[in-house]
Amino acid sequence: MKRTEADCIIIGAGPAGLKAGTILQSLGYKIFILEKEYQPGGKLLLWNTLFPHDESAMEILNPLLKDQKKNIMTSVQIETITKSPEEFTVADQNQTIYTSPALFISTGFKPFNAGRKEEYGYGIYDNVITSVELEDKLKNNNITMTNGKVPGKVAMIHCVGSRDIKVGNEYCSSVCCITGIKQAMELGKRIPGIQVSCLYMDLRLNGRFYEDNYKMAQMSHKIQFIRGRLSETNEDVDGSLVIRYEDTLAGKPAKMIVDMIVLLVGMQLDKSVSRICPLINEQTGTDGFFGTGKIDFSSNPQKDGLFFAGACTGPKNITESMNEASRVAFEVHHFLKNSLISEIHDRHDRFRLQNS
Amino acid sequence: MIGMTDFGFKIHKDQLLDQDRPNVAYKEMIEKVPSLSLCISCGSCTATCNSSEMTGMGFRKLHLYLKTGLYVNLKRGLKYCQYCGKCWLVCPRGVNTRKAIVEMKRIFEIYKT
Ligand SMILES: Cc1cc2nc3c(=O)[nH]c(=O)nc-3n(C[C@H](O)[C@H](O)[C@H](O)COP(=O)(O)OP(=O)(O)OC[C@H]3O[C@@H](n4cnc5c(N)ncnc54)[C@H](O)[C@@H]3O)c2cc1C
Ligand code: SF4
Ligand code: SF4
Ligand code: SF4
Repeated sequence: MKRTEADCIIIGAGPAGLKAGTILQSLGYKIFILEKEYQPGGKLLLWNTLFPHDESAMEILNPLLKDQKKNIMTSVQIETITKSPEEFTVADQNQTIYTSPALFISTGFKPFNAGRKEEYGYGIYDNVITSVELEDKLKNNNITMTNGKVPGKVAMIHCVGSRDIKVGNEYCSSVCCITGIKQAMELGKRIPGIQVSCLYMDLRLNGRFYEDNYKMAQMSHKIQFIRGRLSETNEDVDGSLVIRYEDTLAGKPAKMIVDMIVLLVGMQLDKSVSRICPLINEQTGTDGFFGTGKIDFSSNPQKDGLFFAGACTGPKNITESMNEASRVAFEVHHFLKNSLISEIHDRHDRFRLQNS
Repeated sequence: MIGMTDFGFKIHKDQLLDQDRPNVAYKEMIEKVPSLSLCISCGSCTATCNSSEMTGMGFRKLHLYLKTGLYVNLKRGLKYCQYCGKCWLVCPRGVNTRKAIVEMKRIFEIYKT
């Protein structure tokens, strides 16, 4: 059994965890970042380019990993998390024990399991894929259908597994509208003449520069935006896909034949840590993400040493995830500084008692 | 002198929705079926409706006609419903569509017994 002490343990090496790690390390703290995958980076490892500036995900990841490699432990399966009044104890599959007074949770999100919207045809028809799978195809520059051909007509379906009481996720995942636009433009750039239609209930493009992306999609790539929600997908004899929806602006039920459907899947909390630790589970909000999402006015916010940031506190883009991680890293700093001061006071008091 | 009627005004009834007119039927309906207030007009109900393909009708429009006071259109649309309940199955906002249809038929006295 190996035992290691640190000032702060960070669980999850996505953009949020890595950003917090960089800041805490620069402030002189000893940290560990525990990652369950064999590589650090979170979703940055999966995405090709990033909205809204079309940057490569790898170019964003590399500076985040700089100077941090020695702090990151990969392929860590956390088995238990316990807390004593002084510290958290985290144990992994190899019985390695990590202890620290502060615990930083940045476990991110899990994409919605599209198979649960059975009527959309995922897992039934070959050319119904998710936005996560499309990122992989874009990364490998291999946007083909199962018959090896390049699609000529694609439908992007918004709000899959979000804003849907029937699957139990009533919140908006906030990044899938802009992800759809990013991916539609990328298809437009790579496949000349491709026709991409986005089927939406509401377009939520509320981030900085998102509106520019929207206009570019309309102007440069002739992406069609249709206000309607998919009701069902069927396959034709020739393998093409028939979708049904209502064009609610035209006020008419409609059908469209496409080669490929991309389901813009929403976000769900990764429950791997809340499942094993009741203390963390208690912090789950009514929408299924961590924390309350309320403004915190207290000067010493997290007295218990437990901190959360990134997509695990609700759907966010990368900028928002990293911004929250920075803010919360400073709360950790505050917490550690205060506990250090009280420890010195305690020692001082004990010393005086012994000598009086 | 050229009058406004020369441009076709006054000949046709104006097409404005009068949102100041009290909508008693809608008020009664959202009391009876509170989930109706949650409709976001996504059209899933219409797309899945058995009779929409032929009639162009669907629950989304029924609700819209009710809300905007277009009762003549509403009454016509209500006739096509077969109570299959598919609209309820797909609604992302959990609107109790079948109950709403029954209540609308009651209010407009086209409920067959
Ligand atoms: C299809 C799609 C495309 C997107 N494209 C963009 C884009 O172009 N631009 C943009 O700004 N945003 C984009 N986003 C959003 C972006 O992915 C998130 O904002 C970002 O990943 C959140 O970072 P995070 O660090 O909080 O979580 P994550 O990236 O999810 O990282 C969490 C990390 O924690 C690890 N972890 C989880 N549980 C444990 C555990 N128990 N033990 C150890 N490790 C654990 C995970 O393995 C993972 O490495 C996209 C989202 C989707 C769905
Ligand atoms: S961001 Fe857009 S696609 Fe995603 S849940 Fe919200 S409205 Fe739907
Ligand atoms: S499916 Fe529900 S929310 Fe959508 S238009 Fe119909 S009743 Fe309204
Ligand atoms: S219950 Fe009526 S309105 Fe709803 S889907 Fe069936 S026929 Fe259409």
